[in-house]
Amino acid sequence: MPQENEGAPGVAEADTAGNPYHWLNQKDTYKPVSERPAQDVEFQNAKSYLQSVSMSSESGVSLYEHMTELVARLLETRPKDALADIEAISAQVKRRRFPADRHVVAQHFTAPSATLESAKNQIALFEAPAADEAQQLLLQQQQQQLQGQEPCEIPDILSLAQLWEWAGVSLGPERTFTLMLSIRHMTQTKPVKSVRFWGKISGTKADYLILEAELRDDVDEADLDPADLAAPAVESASDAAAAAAAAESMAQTVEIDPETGEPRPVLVQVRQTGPKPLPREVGDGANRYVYYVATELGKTWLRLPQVVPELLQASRRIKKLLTGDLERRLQTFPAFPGTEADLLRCQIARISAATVISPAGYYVFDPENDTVDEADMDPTKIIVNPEFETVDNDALGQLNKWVHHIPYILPQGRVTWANPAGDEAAAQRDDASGAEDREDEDEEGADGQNDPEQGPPILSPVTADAELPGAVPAWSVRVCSTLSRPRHSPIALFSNRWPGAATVAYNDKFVNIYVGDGVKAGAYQLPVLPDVQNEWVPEPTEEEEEQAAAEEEATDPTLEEEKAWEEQQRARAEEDASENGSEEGSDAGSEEA
Amino acid sequence: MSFFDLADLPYLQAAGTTLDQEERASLAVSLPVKQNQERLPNIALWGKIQGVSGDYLVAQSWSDDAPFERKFYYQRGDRAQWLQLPEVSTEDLETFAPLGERFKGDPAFEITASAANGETRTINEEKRLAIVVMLITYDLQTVPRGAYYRDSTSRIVRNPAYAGLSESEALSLTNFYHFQPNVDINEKSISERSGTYVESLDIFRSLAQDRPIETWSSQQADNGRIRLLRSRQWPGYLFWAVLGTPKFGGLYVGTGVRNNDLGFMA
Repeated sequence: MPQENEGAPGVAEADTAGNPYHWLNQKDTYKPVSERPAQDVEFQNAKSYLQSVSMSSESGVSLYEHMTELVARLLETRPKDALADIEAISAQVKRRRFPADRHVVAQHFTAPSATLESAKNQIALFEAPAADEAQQLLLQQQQQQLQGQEPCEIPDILSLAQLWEWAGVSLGPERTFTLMLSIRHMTQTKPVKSVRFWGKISGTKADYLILEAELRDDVDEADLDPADLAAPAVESASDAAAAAAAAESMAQTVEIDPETGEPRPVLVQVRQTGPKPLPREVGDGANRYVYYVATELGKTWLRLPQVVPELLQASRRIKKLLTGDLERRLQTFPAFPGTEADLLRCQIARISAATVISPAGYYVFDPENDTVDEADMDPTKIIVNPEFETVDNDALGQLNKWVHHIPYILPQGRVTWANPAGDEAAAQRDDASGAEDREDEDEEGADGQNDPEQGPPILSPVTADAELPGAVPAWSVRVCSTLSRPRHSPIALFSNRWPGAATVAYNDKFVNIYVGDGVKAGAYQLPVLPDVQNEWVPEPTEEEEEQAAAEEEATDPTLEEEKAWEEQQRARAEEDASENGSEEGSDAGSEEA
Repeated sequence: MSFFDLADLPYLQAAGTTLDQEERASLAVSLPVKQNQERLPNIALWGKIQGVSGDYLVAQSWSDDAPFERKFYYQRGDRAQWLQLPEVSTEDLETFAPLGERFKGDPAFEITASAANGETRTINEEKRLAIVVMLITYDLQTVPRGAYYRDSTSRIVRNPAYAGLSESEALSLTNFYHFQPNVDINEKSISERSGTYVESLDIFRSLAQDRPIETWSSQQADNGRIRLLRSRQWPGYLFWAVLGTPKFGGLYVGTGVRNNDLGFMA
């Protein structure tokens, strides 16, 4: 067959063989192809072209193969708009043919997967307790009951989660369940009396889930496992002060080196200037609750450090985003001398004090508290009212039916005021308010630190909360469902001061929750800088004073004054000349010439 | 831009936010009705702006041919009604965009501000809502790299071959793009135009270019299956991309107030 094809053009050549210039002045005419190769041959040629692997192609795949696969893919997957997607699908088919055998690589190396990591963390929560373990736990609980310890109180999170939803807050049903398991697990390992899910503060890299726990009565904060404590390596402000005090006492007892028998050199002491650190509240006030945080369910719940008054003051002056790294040192102005764990703790304390509320009458002042000596009376001690009657939903929608049940934190950073001058000074003043202490008092009064700071007492109504700038009330009240009957619709209260803080109430149930960034609403204002201090000026000496007097600016002399001065100069020059003439005449003579 | 669908609720919950039952139930009904009334090609929930005395729900409508041309509708109180937001003029945008006050929750409430040329302008809260919605839409709408491409006729279209980001890709903000029109590719730096650069896919500005760097916070959620991006410039905007699947989307649930303190907070 190919031989026959080659013969065909030869016929046309024969006509013009005689004349070598047959092409001159000839017009182009289309000569229809008289004979075509057989159809199957043409097909074979085209196919062989498509099948030839072009030299530039590194993939080793021909166009033919690619198109076969592409058509097969189209027919297999039947995309709705195949024409529109053809380029994309073609590219996808090409990518799948990537030469490196990825599966082989994957067999030998798998990148650590975050999914797997957190799943591994959580799996322990789902493990069924072994039979003997379960029995042991039961025994332990019975024992605790015999000892008069009540089992840990955990709210029914699954049902409360339905209330959160009305405030636009939800962790998702699965996560809520895991959270419930995680809290149960935590209460079995930590000596806590009650636990509440406080909320969630979002950080830039991870979110904090926060639990508010109350320690059992027989346990002190100091008894807690130090391994739980978040960011333990960093000393906070008053720790530093305590360390300095310890060093001072050490300096007095000279240490003897056991090897050489000589006294060890004492390090240079830094003298503590500045105000004394305020005493921390222990198990009370701002530190009544202990907070545990975790960035992810299934991770260990870490205990946050206690509120330090100075740090709380500092936290009020800054506006910072949290990152999710508890040990991060903060770089702020004004300085916040602590870690992110400290800041988180301070923000929790501030948010709690401002936004944790309950229906009026739910909590009452502890009646037993009255019997104690008035000086020791804790004005913040409250108990759940055993005679509390459920308030109707209609009434809950009124702000005056709500009170703060977390005490107000004074500007000082404590709930109860502590005299910065120290307890002794305060005691002295209490004992003898006579004339001998006047001087002392005046001094303190001048500092302005003497007057006890005051704030609204606990259980004060939320209607007393100050408005935000722009006439925005501190709280917004919503009836959650406008369509259902008021009796059946939960009520939500949103704090406008701390966006993200919400309280939802439904007949006898109410829940406080915070889900937000942990920053206060409103534009941030840098604290006003103190006045620039005067430069130190040395006392002028007598000489300098004279010079200064001489350099004083003078008014221009009048003509008469100038003439008088010239006269005077001339007279003096003559005098000089007569004197010089007698002593070193030659010199004076040459000058005058 | 992938638009919010009620089936995306679990991703929203991964960040701690949700819509309540009444909102969910009513949206499933009121949006299709509105779509049919106005003969809209598509409609989806845009987000929620929390006012002091009430919340605005905002929905948006777009067509697949012109994904940047939107119509916005809002709802306040009445769950069955969607009202169209008014058109916004450039002067209004310039004058009222810097306002930092909370929304009152009353569409008729009047707001006055002085314009650049000194005269005072007054608009009602409905218009301010339109302004803020426009601003947030432009500033925040995000798409993962590869979800859209510019086809041979230069249109921006949804990429059917987009199969989702991998875990390692999702770690970098360079794989998330601002879904904004009129991006000049010539403005991309040489380094951006190297490596995995594809002219048809790299057609937007990446979030990694936003300043300050802390404008976006990116974190994993749901045991690492989801990548959540939160805007710190407009607190309340959430973007999610489900890793390994083409699912992604965003929603704004917030007060509609821009955070101008980011420089101090970072």
